Amino acid sequence: MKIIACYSNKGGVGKTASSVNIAYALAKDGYRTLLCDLDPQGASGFYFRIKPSRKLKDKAFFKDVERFVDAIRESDYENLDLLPANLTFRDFDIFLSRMKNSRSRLKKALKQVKADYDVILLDCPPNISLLSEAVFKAADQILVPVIPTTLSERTYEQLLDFFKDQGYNHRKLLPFFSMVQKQKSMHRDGMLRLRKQHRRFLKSAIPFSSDIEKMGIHRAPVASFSANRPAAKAYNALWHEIRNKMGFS
Amino acid sequence: MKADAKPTPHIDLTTERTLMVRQAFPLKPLNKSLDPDYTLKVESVRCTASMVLDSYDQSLLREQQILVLAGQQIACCNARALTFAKQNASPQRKNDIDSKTLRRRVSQLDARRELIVQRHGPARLHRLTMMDDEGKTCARGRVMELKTPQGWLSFIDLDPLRGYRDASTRFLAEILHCCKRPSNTFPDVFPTLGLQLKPGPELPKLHPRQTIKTSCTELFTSFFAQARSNEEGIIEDQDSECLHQYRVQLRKTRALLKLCQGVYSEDAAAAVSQRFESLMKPTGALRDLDVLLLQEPALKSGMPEDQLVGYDRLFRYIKRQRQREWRKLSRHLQSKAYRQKAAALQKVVDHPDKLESGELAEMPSVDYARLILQKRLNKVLRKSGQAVQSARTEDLHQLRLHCKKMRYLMESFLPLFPKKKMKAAITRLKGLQNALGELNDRQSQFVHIRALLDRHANTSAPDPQMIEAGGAVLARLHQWKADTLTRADILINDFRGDNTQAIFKALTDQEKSG
Repeated sequence: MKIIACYSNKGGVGKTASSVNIAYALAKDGYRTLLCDLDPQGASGFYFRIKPSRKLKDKAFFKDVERFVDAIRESDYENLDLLPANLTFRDFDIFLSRMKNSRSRLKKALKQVKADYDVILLDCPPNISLLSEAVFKAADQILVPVIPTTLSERTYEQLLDFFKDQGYNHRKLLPFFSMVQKQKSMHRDGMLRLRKQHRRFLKSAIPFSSDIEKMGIHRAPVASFSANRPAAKAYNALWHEIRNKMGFS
Repeated sequence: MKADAKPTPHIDLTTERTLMVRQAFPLKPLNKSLDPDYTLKVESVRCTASMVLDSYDQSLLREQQILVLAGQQIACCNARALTFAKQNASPQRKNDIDSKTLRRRVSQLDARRELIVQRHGPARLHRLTMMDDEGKTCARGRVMELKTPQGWLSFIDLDPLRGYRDASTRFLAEILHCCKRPSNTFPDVFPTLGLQLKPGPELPKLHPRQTIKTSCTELFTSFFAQARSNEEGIIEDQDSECLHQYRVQLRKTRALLKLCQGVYSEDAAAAVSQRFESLMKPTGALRDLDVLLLQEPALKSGMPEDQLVGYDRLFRYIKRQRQREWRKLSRHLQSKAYRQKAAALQKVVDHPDKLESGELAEMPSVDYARLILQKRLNKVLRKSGQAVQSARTEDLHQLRLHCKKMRYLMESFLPLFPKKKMKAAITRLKGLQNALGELNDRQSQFVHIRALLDRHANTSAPDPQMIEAGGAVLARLHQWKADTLTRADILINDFRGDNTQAIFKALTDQEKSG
């Protein structure tokens, strides 16, 4: 079982859209996938029409394995399940801070469903917190969507610094460009500059697209309603690149 | 769903039982009874001429499984689950089923066997999806309705969705409420569907201490019934295996009568055995051609491309020959003469007491079986020694016949011995017998094709391409024969080796075989 996180310390960069669409691509490829919606806003669940879980409350997520497993919901797509968000997820940090070895608790909790899934994808909330640190520890690879703008560049560099300071393995980070508008010279230049500075940037880039916005209307992954459009193709290409990088069988 | 409407059903969805109701599926009442917060989406396929498919030996029905082709959908139903899949063309064999999942569901089907229509009739397939107010699926199910002379028969299967157990259970409660006589066990529905089970390959349960005459009589009664159950398949040319099994069962019957000396009086056994042999005689030519045609794909795969046209003509010619032989045999099996002969033999089988007993008739079955198996083993060992020394085709042929006889006896007396030990011994013998059988097939195919080519070369307009391809086929068969001979040599030596002999000794030794 592999754990992939989709994380950025900046909001509105396309984390949830990426998580949802990559999870869909994984499932389509035959990988049994669990998408964990760790963002209390529950947008991943919204895209899959899954209501927020009432069963998961604070401690339950880490301590009560049975309730954690029970809260998983099968989506309408084969091989794809979702752990819906719960408003109490916002209390994770307080909860984690009280626990011994809090940073590795998440990994231990996820191990409970190891046999059921090939991949667990974590859709993370946008901040650096104890929960994020637990994610950094648990994930095999961390996807970081970056909009090619100065502000996004800055947040990516902040994340890199944080990894270096805390001694986390920065090789886990897989940045990729998100919400790219190629008609803007600022985006084109930003991409060139960042690729030069950070060789880890993935080749695939996700365009800014109305199809991705329409996910909110269809409440479904973009490839399920417009598979031949550039956005769906871009997510598919991104998934294939990740697959090759991670050496999926 | 209305909270107060229906009690939770006492059916555990985790057991994955397929439900059955003797009525059309109540789609409309179900739609009405659902809570307005839920919607039911139904995708249906209606087919006026669906087909229940199975192999000649009914390997699916025997395990209470039904495979239904309804238009472009194929469904598989048993007590555990009902599965649908898309099917583009009518499948001839298991591997023609498009869906991998469904192929896995019918794993007991032999991939070489034809799928035969067991019944026709109207069918309806429905995929049910119950969605909540967000449009999210909460419960899924499949329904197959089959029309019988007594009305519709519905099979229902629900998929419990992870995280939606309550919704699935309540959906099931609604369905059960709308059905008149729901059942949560998969009943014996074959008579209702107009399906008849042929006698199966199961051996009668023999008691080791019952007399050998009783055992032999029970066995040949069962073999004869199994042989005759294949008559229809041969007449309709359902599958070449029908003829093969017909011959095997008759041979087993004869083996019991001829080889088990002292069970029946010598004269009685010889007379009845002779009558069984006369039933088999007209079947040889067709079986030889069937065996040759079963090799066709393997022979073709090694043919040079420029000879493929001639090859196809040659095999078209052989297929025509085969059709002629089949028509002849089919007519024969439907003839008055055959029916009378078979009926007369049936009378013998139905009244075994009229068969005069031999001097060993009262011996306990297991003691007699041990004795006869030891005798046959000695014979096989003697013959195998001769075959190794002489390396003559005739000696190998004789060894094959003795192996075959011994295997029939071992398979017949299987219920009298510890299963594991007997199966281990049969496996050893079967390996050798198969190699020797292949050798014999290659030889007779070689002779058959050479004679065919000779005849064809002497016609007024011989086809040079066909003759050339025939030559290549002969070369291939010759090579195969040489390869099989090498394999047979190894297997003979292995059979004569200490390991195999220890397996047989454990079987024939009174103390060890229990």
